[in-house]
Amino acid sequence: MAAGYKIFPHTSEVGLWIGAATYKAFYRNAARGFLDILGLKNARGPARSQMSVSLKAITPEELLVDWLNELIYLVHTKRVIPRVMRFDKADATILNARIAGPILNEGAAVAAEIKAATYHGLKVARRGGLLTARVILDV
Amino acid sequence: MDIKLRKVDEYVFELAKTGGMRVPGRIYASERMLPKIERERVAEQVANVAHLPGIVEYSLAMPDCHWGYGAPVGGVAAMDAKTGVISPGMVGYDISCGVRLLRSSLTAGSVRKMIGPLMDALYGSVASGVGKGGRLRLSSKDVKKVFRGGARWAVGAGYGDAEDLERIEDGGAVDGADPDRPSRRAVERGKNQVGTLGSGNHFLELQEVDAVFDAGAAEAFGLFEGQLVVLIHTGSRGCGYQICADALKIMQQARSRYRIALPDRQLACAPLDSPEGKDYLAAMCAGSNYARANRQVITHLVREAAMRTLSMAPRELGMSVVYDVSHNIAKMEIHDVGGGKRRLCVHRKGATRAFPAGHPDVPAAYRDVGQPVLVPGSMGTHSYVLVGTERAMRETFGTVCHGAGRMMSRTQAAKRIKGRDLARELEDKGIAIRTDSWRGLAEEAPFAYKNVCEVVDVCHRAGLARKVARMRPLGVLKG
Repeated sequence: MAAGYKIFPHTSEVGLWIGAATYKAFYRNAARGFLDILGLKNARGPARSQMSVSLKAITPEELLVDWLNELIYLVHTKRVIPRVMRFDKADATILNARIAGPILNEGAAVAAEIKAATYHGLKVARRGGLLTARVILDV
Repeated sequence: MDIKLRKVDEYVFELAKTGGMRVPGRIYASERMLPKIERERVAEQVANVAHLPGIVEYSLAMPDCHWGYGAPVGGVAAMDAKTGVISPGMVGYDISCGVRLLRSSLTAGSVRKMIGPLMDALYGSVASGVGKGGRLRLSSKDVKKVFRGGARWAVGAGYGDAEDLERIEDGGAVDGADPDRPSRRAVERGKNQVGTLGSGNHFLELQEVDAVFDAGAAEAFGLFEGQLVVLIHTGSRGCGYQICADALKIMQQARSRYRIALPDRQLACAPLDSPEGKDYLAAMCAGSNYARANRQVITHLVREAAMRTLSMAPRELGMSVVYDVSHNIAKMEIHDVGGGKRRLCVHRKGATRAFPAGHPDVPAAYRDVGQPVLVPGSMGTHSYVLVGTERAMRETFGTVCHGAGRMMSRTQAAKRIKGRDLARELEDKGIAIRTDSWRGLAEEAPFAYKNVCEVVDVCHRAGLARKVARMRPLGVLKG
């Protein structure tokens, strides 16, 4: 399978497969897939908001869930579309990033409300040279 | 995992206790439903839940069950209060998602020409859709008051009447909420969402009671055939999701400390008497109260919109609460187990409490009859009012189904029909639709769900609840 992301169906939620050669690309692809689910992957506009994200976890699965939950908070609560991401550190248990993006206006069309990323069946593993994971998002 | 289901009764299928399961599993369903349930591997999730420490009697699934994450939707598990665990994954992210039914003094026939304007008014009054904030903008201090007071806070703030509280589960607020337990982020997410529907399968419907099955119970609930009623389905919104996410992270880390081995991380849990368990229970109660306040404020907005549109005074409209009950929650309850009374933490994930006549937790006005159980159908189909039974108390910790249950993914549903086409189909059937999201509407198409009539019939025939009334939709507001 090629690096990137794929959205896969689930009876009541949404699934996201992520694959990348490095952890930086892995978290970037996770964010891209997340924005695609929301219908925001092509969102344009000046990056009016910037913020730092610092996450630490015991396992890569926890870190991935924390990262996606952080993105959910940014979009649905802070109303920032995380379009530009600069990773200062990204590995299995630490993620430090600077994020910038346009403001999501009140009333702007968003395809889904993602409640949270779940741990269900989640395993971050190297397969065929790629870091991969299948994560279920509660919508 | 190869799991064999053994039929033990007309509508009960059992999984034997094997491997790490601490109790057997039981699925309530008809033979017809079974192939779909087996394809979805619901039994595997029922078996996983049976691994939870302190679980009592059976890991259960209701007839609307389907594959969830960790636990099945439609899952029920009761843990011993002293030796058992509490699991945020067995409650769900939308803490205290639930349903409220409002009655009115009006017949649907008398307002049929006004359904369109009524729906326009509701669409304008009740914020619905992804990330939509409501009219109320609360401070952090106010959100904490909501965590503590629930619907009682809302009534005190002018959103509703004191008598509404008599017909809400727990009198409008769960005991045991600690407003300081939810994180700062949960508080932040709760600031502008009280009085909002949200999106997904949340909705507000104008309905007509089109059948009464139990005249005595219907009369006690204030329902009559041809009546205009309102059904509201929503929960604790972003703050509930955050409370759950925060707790799951903590419990992932606590698992090894308490040596709890689980087949699915999403079932992460902690002993009820541990600091983590107590903190989550207190935070979950706070989230539950937020959901109750949310539905209370929406009730007020619905009343205002209806009085304005129909030019009616409150007494003429007669809009009052039939009942408000949650279907994603963990409650501390006393149940008969093995001939003696035990205090249990009953987890209901996509399952509704259904207490019988005489139970002290049933509102006084209904105690001779039993607790109303509100079961919404999928969009465009019937909804039901049932009443709890003694048999449910004996077999399912006083629990029944919560709705129709999904059987198709959102993607598949949206591929099969466009939202605008679905809206046209429903309008042709006389159902007015108001929504901000055509895709969201398509994802909630009736064919994506099980047949609610079949689900309710199984609950009725299995003796878990009795049918009281059926409603059909006249107008749907969806996020």
